[in-house]
Amino acid sequence: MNRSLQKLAVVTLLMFLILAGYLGYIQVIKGEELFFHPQNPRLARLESERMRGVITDRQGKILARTVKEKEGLRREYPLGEAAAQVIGYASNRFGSSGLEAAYAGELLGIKGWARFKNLAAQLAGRQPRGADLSLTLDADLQDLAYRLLAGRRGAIVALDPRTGAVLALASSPSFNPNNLAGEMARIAARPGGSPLLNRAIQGVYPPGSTLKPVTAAAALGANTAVAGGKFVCPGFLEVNGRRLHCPHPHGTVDFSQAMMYSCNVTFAKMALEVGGENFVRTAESFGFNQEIPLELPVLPGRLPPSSKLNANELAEIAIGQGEVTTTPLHMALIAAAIANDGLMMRPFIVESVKAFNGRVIWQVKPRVWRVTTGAEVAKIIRRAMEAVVARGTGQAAELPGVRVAGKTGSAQNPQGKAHAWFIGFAPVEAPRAAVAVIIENGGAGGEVAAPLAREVLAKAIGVVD
Amino acid sequence: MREFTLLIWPSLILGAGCAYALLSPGQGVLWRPGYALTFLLIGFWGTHLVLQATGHRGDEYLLPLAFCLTAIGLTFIGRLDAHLAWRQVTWTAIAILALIVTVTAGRDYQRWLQYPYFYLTLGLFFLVLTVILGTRISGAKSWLTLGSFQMQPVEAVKILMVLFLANFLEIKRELLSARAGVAAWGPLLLAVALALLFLVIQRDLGSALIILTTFLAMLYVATQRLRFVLGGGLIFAFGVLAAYHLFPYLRVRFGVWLNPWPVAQAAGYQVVQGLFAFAGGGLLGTGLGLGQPEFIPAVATDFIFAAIGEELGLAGGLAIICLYILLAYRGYRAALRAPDGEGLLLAAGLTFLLTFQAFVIMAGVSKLLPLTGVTLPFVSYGGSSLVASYIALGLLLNVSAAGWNEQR
Ligand SMILES: [Zn+2]
Repeated sequence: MNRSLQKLAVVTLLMFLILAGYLGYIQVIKGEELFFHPQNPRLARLESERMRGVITDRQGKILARTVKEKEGLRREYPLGEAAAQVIGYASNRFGSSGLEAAYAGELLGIKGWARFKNLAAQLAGRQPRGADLSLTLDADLQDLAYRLLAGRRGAIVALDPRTGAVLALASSPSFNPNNLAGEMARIAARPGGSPLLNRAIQGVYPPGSTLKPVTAAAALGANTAVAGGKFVCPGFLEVNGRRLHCPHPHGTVDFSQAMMYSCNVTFAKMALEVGGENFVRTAESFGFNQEIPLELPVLPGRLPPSSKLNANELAEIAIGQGEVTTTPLHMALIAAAIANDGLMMRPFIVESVKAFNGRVIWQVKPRVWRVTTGAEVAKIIRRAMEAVVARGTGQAAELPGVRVAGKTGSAQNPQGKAHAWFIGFAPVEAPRAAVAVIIENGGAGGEVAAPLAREVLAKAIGVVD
Repeated sequence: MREFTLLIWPSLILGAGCAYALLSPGQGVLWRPGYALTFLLIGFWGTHLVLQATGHRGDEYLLPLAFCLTAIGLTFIGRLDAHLAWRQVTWTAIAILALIVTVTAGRDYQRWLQYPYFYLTLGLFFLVLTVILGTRISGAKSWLTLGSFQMQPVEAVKILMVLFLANFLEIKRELLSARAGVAAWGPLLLAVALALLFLVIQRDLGSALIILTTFLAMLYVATQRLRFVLGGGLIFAFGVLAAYHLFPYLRVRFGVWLNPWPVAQAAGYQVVQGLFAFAGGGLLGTGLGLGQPEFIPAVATDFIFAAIGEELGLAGGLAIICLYILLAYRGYRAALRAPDGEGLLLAAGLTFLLTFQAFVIMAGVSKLLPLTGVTLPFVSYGGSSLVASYIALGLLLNVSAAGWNEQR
């Protein structure tokens, strides 16, 4: 029986080794993520005795800070409703959200070495204090974007296409983080509008015609001669017995005109020409079906794999309808990639983490996230998108003395009127800002979303020089 | 002599636990840790002296290992719930007395193993009694209440089962391996199936799992046939599948194990709180008394390992695991050196019983396996478990002593 006994002993040892490895996984590797789960009751005590660090914008303007009052510590948000979802809140009663939740470890000073330093401070009777966050957001631009939304359901995202830095991430309707108890009661009493939802990253919409630059990239990537081609639009396209329409027959158009007038027939034809496999591969290079890396959770843009696409579905997806969905941040990234010669930069909101004495603990390094299309193809699409603003559907985004490029979209949806979309960037010769605007059920993108993008771009190119 | 030196370790742990209790305000008054320390040190060293005086030549590591675990357990119980601490001190004293009785009166274990059907009957009787008269506490109806006194007979049943199997399997093992072994298999499977059935009725799934696995482990050691274990595992899998459809509470448990987050405020509360405790501990822990394990329900009994994980971190958890690995090593070593097959099976069965139970609850509270409420042997609060564990330890000591005598 000795042999079987030895085997039993080995099994016993193995089961404890598995347990030991697993404990290492949940306590050390997954530990911090688990600990900062909003439902962890330990966070409440930590919140009540720790000074959270300060959150500032790119110019050092305060976006969140903790003030000491007689009743204890209180968190203050000078921008109020304008940045409520992206900054988030930290409350004993309501938990935490946004960057306040994502960076709780740094802000509370319990990540890495800061944890031991603060423990020592606490034992010495000093007030422990967390690290500060320096964001890429511009407080004024964020405020402007939120005011432009004017209480309508929608979102505005502005990026620096050269780095991926997020300049504004506004979502509406919103809530006032300075009066959480009141706001939570209001939201509970009158649900609807989901003010807690960050539509810029968690709002999922059909992209409508703003997807056409991606369709163009697929067509041009396969054959650059498409740029010089002529297309005939009789007002509809029949695919397997089903018709896809344009608002009216566009007649004979070239590539730029197809973009300018947003000709559905031409873009559907282009997609059918390159085929589902090419099209889906290009869309995936633009970040569809990929987890978008950001400090906050972003819902991914989705479209079905090419193996599941028939010609009808492909034609529909090519014009941003049917089974394709995206988020405003993702559409801003697509605009930014075309602005940046096809290189899609990894988006980020936190520029650096600093200890309270100003020492930089961590600093972001801009990195390329995806290589979408070649510089030559990007340039062709940029010119067409410039024509959209100069002479096409996006003229409401025109700025005097600045070359603006863009694409409008009016995405059909089952909820009612079309979602008004606009994506764009400026100045075309050396883009410094890219933008995506959506107004839910707003109607025509060129009329409703483009004027908002104009204001945001004007301000943003002043912000980043 | 080695045992004498090794006993310094549990004594130091107890001393540290006592010092902590005295220093933290309001705690010491409730359970007078100073007295408890003196009392327990007398117990620890007294046991050693009794073993010496009676010429018991058992394994010298087993006792210090168990005392280390108990000392860590007491330190945490004192820190978690001062009211429970004195009771646990009393239970430790009773458990040590039970150990002393086992190692003196029961040293000739071969004589005690001669009554397998008595142990079987007694075990099943306990189970039937619990099914009929039991009290349901936190889900499982596995408690017998006598006035203010509560006990879990299942702790005794586990040991009775090993005692029965050690003898039965040794006598019938040729027969079991043979083709015409129906006469031997019949009563064996009936006995195990009945025990499991009663436990499932009580909803004590943890104990059912432990008894079944211990049975399969001993069957494998006795017959050396892996296919018996696999067959048993297969039958078990079907049993689980059937039970899964029959009992809604099982589906809830299983769902919580797969993803406790949607029910974090309901059925998954305990598991989620346990995970937060482990996460809060990190590598080195918050330090004794600086964590907040009091958020976890049943933290002094089933979830004591999560409290240790929070305040002593991964380091503390690994230390506990190491103690059980060492316990397993010394236990199996005693089994290998046993002078006879019964002794081997007894020591192997008890060692597996103790360490597997430890594994089941440590894996359960950390969500490696579905949670089943059993105690952490030697560590958790609970008299029945503590006394049973020390009796098992005493039996292990007896087998190792027989091995030593044999080699001389
Ligand atoms: Zn057309």
